[in-house]
Amino acid sequence: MSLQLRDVSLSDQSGDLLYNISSTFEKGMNVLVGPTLAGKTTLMRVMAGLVAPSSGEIFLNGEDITKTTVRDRSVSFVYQQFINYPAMSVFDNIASPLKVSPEKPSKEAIRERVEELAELLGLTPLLKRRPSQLSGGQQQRVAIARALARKSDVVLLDEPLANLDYKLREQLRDELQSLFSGADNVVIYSTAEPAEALDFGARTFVLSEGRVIQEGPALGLYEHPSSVEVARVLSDPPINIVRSSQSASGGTFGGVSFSYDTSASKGQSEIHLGLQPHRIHLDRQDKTDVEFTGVVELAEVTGSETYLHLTLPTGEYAVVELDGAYPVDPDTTVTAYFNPADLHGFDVNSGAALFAPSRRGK
Amino acid sequence: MAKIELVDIAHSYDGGETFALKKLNMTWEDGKAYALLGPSGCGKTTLLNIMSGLIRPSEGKILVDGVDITDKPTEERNIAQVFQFPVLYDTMTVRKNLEFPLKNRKVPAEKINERVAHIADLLDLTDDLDVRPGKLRSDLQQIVSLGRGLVREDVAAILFDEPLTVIDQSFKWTLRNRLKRLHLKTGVTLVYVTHDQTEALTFADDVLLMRDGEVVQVGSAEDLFLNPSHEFSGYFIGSPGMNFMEATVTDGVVEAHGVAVGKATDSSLSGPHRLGVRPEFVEPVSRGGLDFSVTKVENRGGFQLAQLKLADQTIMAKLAPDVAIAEGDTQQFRFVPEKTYLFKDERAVGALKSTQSGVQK
Amino acid sequence: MNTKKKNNRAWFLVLPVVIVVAFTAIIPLMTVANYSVQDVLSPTNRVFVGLDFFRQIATDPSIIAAFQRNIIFSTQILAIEIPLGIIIAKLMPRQGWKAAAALVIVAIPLIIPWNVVGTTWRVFARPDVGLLGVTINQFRPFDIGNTPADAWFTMVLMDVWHWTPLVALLVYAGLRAIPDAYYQAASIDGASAMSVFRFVELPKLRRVLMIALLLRFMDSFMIYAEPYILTGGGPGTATEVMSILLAVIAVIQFDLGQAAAFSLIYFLIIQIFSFIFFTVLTLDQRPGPTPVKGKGKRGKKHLAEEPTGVTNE
Repeated sequence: MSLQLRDVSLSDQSGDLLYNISSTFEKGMNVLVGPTLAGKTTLMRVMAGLVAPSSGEIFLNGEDITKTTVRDRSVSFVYQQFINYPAMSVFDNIASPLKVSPEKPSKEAIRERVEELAELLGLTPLLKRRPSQLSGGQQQRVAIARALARKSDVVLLDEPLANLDYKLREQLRDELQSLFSGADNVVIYSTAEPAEALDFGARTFVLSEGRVIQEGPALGLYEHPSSVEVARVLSDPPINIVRSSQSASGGTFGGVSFSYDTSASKGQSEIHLGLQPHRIHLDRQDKTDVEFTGVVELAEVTGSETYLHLTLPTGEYAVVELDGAYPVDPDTTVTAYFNPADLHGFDVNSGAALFAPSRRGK
Repeated sequence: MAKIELVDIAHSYDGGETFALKKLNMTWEDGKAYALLGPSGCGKTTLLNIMSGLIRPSEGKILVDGVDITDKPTEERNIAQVFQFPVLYDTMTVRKNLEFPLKNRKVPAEKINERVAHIADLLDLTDDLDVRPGKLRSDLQQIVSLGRGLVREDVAAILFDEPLTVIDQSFKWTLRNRLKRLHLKTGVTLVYVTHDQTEALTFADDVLLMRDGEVVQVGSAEDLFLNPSHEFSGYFIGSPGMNFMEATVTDGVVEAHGVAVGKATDSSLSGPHRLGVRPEFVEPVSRGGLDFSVTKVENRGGFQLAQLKLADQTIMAKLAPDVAIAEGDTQQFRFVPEKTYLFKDERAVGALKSTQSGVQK
Repeated sequence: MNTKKKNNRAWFLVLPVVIVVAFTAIIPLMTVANYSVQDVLSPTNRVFVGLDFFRQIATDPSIIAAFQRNIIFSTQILAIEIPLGIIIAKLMPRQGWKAAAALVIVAIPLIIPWNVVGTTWRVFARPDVGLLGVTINQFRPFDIGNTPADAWFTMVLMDVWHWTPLVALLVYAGLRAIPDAYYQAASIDGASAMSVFRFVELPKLRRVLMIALLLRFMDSFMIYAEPYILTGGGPGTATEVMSILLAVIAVIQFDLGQAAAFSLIYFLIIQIFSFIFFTVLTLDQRPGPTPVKGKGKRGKKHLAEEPTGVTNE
């Protein structure tokens, strides 16, 4: 089962919305990640058939469905706002796609399927209620059950958990992951939160300003972003990007010179270095670590970790993520360390990646 | 700037049958940042609305510097509020928006100009003063909303009702720490309602964790994380939350799944309890721990999450990215004793005794 | 941008409507156009006169006078109905059974057939048995049959009674749509009721008021049944609005050519006004200059509406 997009573009009177999207979504979970207004919802609407692309084709299992209307496509959609039929009970909501399906299943078959889905999503005791009598999380589960009722080839979920509180989001994410883990259909889940993308750890597509700028396994994209844009989209807290004046033997970080293998950035006098906040420590961990200083603007303590917001001597901003609580006062100067093997390098003009950390997480 | 006290406050929307907010007493100290944190329906918005004057509490009273303001309407209270979406007067420029609260209170024009210039400088809005706020990005619009609250010098507290709800993900981060920085600079009492733990914990000096209309625990982010007094603090704070398992205490020795895990700090404890330990404090050890089989390992970039199983118990461990661990392994783990708590009826009653510095196993 | 696959069956569903509209609107319109350029002396004797009738209409003093009356009438009723509608809407209760009751009471004038409205007011204005007529007569002589000012006054009053509820209901709906947070914020800012009206309510009611204005202008410009029954256009031509004059020319004088030309011009005037209003109304909804899609910051975005996806609590 696969959904393939070939050179799909979309523009309307306000400008270009999607550019040359050529990606293939295989069966199982696929994650679409990108900031708000990157085009995630627009892309999903094109995949569903709600909007026709201005150019390009869409293939489902090799069959061209570009001109097929949404009703004829085997697609279901779960929206960010919990959308259910308010006048129908939960049972009828879940049954509704089955009642209008061209296969005309029997009442018995419908009931069986609804009960199966209710069991799967923990809705069994709520079948007689109306959506208005359910909590947000329950309503969204009903919407998901309805989307799954007809076993459509493609299931699209557009930031479905964005309107729920964070603990509920955690819980439903786990549920969704196990729900779709052995799926035969193509499941596409969009989110604006990089942490969710990393949580799913599935095949991820990074969308920015209407383009898919990189695709691959989530962790792979995190460790080897193809551009500074991808690195930014996938990091929360945001990845530190600083200027480095290059020499033959090394570069600078926050004004401090250090040596490293510059072969990947040969010939460039200035590049951007990227460093994940959790790769910076307040103590030297290895003799090859580089030491630098910064002035603390703010220390945010969450209990389990601390975010130190620093201003480097070059005037640039950097954030350090530390395990544990470090309530440092503002205007304190701290000394911090990182290892050159953890650095990303990006071209100053194009943002393209020059090199990625040589030391992997494990 | 003032001391705000809530005395025996409780609220019911249906005349006493159910209480959306159960009896609570709280003193809000001048200049501190507070967060009301909890899941949907926990009563945090009700509490905020009682403070702003939108709701009159069914019971109790509110005192500001000792003066009872319970019956005072919103306009007479010295509070300001930032809502879930930017609430602005879109026919006015940013400048006029900021001037509005002062003009209504008949503040002299010179003073108004001074305050507006000061606040605009503080909020980095000086260049946007003569623009219509509708043209600004949503996070900047919220800053203007906040500005209207800060422009008044007599404001006792500024209330925030889930203010980052409509903010773009990429700007949530910057707006959050901007708010924190503003707090440090202005020293105004701030009360922030949210269901997002990161927002609450990073923002507040003290967090009120709420559930079902009750305040479960009050404390700093560190307190809630390291010293939970209630199972809910263990569950709600931390991503993922605390691991819980059944345990029995006999003669001061704590046993879970038939294995002794340590000694209780309070030797008088006895009988069935629940053991709680955060994934951050489940450590791999070469010996002296419990044998777990590793059923799943997820690398989230900044850390690893391992799912461990022992008999029918599944727990999570949060490990550094470079710790060597793989699915299918069997590995020993221990629970850091001082951070492993014993709960009875959901309340923390003790922890495991530290095994370091001379204390016996 | 929705280009669904064309479903030809859809055309068959639309066919009945097309036939009805063709029969009741398009064919008569074509007939009128036909008559407007021909002088029909008898069914067999027709002379093509080109734009003669149009020229006559444009210079006919009674038609020009009727046009002026329409303009004055529409201006007057708008000046009364819009503010009055707002006031009524603000006075109506916001929720509970009282709100429902208020809605029903306010809506009653709207559901009365228009000729019944005319008849009712004709009786109402009689100085011998009508409540209005008798009351005013106490202070000064009142006779809509003979005093132009009295007839005009009654015509305006009748329209205000009949149609202000429409404005009130539209504004009421508009007010209900304003999120509470705005009122709260205004309260916190210490705003007076007048300031709340000026800075919160009016801006948010802009669209609704535009619609009310457009609807009322159009309808009042075309008004026929009520004034015809009330005064028949009299006394003399005091209340002879364009529609009444048109009926006189067409039906009484049977000058079909002139009537047809007049109809077309009338139609054109209304179309022009509609277009002007519509353009002004939707001015801020036009897609503006293409947002700059560059790297980095998205630049300034226009955020006019409050979001709908708000977390529940």
